[in-house]
Amino acid sequence: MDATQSASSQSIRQQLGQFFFRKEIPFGMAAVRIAISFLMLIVMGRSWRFVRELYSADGAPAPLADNYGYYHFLPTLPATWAVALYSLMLLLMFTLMIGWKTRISAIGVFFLFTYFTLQDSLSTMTKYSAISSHVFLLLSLSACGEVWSVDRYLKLKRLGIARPFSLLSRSAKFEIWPQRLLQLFIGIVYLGAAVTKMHTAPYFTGEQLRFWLLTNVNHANPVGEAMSVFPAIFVVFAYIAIIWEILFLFLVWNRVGRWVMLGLGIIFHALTTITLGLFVFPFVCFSVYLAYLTTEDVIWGRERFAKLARRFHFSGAMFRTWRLVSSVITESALKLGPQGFAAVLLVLVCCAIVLERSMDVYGERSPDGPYELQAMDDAVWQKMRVNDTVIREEDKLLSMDIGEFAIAGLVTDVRKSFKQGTQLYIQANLVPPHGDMYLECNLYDSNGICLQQTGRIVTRDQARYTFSYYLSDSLVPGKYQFVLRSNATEIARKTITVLPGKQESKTVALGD
Amino acid sequence: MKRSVAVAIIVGYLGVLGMGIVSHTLSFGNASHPAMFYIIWDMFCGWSGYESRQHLVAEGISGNHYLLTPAPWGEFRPYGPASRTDYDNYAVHSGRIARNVLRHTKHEPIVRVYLIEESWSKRYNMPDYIWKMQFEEEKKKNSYFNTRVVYNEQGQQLQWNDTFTSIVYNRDLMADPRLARYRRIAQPHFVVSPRQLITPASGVQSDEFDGVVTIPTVPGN
Repeated sequence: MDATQSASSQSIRQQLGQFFFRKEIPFGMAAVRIAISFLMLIVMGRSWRFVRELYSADGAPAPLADNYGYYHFLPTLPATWAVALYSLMLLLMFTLMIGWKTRISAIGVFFLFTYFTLQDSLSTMTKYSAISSHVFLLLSLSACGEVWSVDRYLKLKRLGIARPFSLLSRSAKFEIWPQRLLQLFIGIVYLGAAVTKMHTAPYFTGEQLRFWLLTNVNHANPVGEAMSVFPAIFVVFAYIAIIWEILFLFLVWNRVGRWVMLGLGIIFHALTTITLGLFVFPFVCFSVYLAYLTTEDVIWGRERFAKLARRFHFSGAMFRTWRLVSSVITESALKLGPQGFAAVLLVLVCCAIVLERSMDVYGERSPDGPYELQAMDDAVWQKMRVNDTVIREEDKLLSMDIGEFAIAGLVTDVRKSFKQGTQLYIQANLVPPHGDMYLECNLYDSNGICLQQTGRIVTRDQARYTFSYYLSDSLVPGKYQFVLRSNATEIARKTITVLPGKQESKTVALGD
Repeated sequence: MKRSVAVAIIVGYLGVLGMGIVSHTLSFGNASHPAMFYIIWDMFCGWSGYESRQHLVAEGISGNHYLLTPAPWGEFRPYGPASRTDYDNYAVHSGRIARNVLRHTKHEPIVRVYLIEESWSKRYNMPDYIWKMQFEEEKKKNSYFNTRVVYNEQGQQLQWNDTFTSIVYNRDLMADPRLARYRRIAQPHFVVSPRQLITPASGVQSDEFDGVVTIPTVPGN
């Protein structure tokens, strides 16, 4: 028994050892290094002009720690230092991307990026920033600069290799554990995201997603707005997404599971771009997916690329351009030598400080002095100063959907024509907080005469209420209107056409 | 030695990530420290039926009012049309933003700064073509305003209010006559220490022995 247990535990140890300490060429981490540095260079580069305002003592930083009650958790830098270090961070992102002094660059980016994101919780720190900090940390522990990098080129040059470019993608093998940690990390992120969804009951009713699609704090999302009309789809998506998030960590390790999980991930994140207007988050995740790249994938990709290049004759110009850019970078690095790295950074940081000062962000050195505040229209102020506490009845209604079919309690076939003898649903989707309300759904004929009345109390926790009507053949074919009233106030009216059919009339009210 | 360091990093790193999952799942210590932000993965955890924007307004000594956002030198909009103050959900950082705008602009002496929350039902975020599919009524967007925070000229908080949706929700709750009656008859009861903090001038009665303070109920409150 002991021998069996010992063998079993040894086997687990061996498997773990093989899992974490197998040696491979670090293609995955190199690809992550290039992608995430490029992406964050663009993202963080956008706010360089605002460094003084967003991150320095001469502006209005918004430290994340303040939200947790940890005031003065990190020091706020004077403006010149903030500009210098922020510029240094951007430069190190570039050197990390090209793989010049890769380890130093990665360590520098990790500390500076984490510091600056922590200093601005309003417009810099998001969950993708937190993910990126993890990635930079793991890159700094890895051998990501040993392939596809300036460092590799310089090493080959030092060895006297005549044509180092041809060997940029060949390197020694290194222990894979930093790559494994990154692979595990993204799986754990998805598991955490699944837990969040489990905590959010309206996620499973489609309600949360529907309101997110109608939110305008992210970039434009016209597809999402159009999809908000079909809320039942979100319930299906919601279940697929949470199942994928839970399974990711467990299924991504074998060949088929990896393609399925990463494929679903790409679809999921692409959907968040077109439906929610998210851009950076998906690309951060795609960058991390590159950690799943293996040597076989690289060989396969290189062969496919070579075939395509031969077929479409695009390799020549493309390679020439690529070779030219690479040559300029690598030869410059070679000429500058080991001390040149620090010298270049120093000169560029000084230039950045001078440039930022000359921009005079607050306009204080302009001939007219600082900007002058302009008084606002008093009528606008009078409107703003009123503290509203009562919501208009019509603002409590998100939509009034009439149809014959419902999936997950949501009307799916919203229509305007129904045959006699049809059982139809009139669904009022509500905007919280709506308080307890008395909701009526009344049927009127084309002369404005009320034919049927029904009403129910809808409590504050209900997201919707569904009335069920049976269109009997006593209703003469023609135009009718369903009128929705909340607390005795009309909030919506919908016209339907009743087409000939055969059935008797009855009215039922179904709670949802 | 090198292998031992690697094993320590692996165990430590996965242990911290695992702690984050447990903390998040059980809602235990998940907001205890800023570092938790790096191990709690609660993306899109919140949502609202109302879209909100926050405006910073300074009140001058003359009675004129000045809109401080967007700042006269322009503003950074990181993720779309919303500005920085719109992401200040807890109204923690807006005072600093106001101070910065006032510090770098010409203006008359300022006596008050207000953080005003503007909210509207998200049904008005529907594009016009979807609105026409959904409603026979005309689209008439209506904004609600709520003063979140009042600051003095130094940017110190004088008054803090809840968000518009929380205020409405609580008001609806208190509209329940049964709850309102219980609230009327309930005696607020605090245990305070040290007792010296309570002065006779404050109008509260202090129990000499156990530091219990009973605040007289205001009729109709």
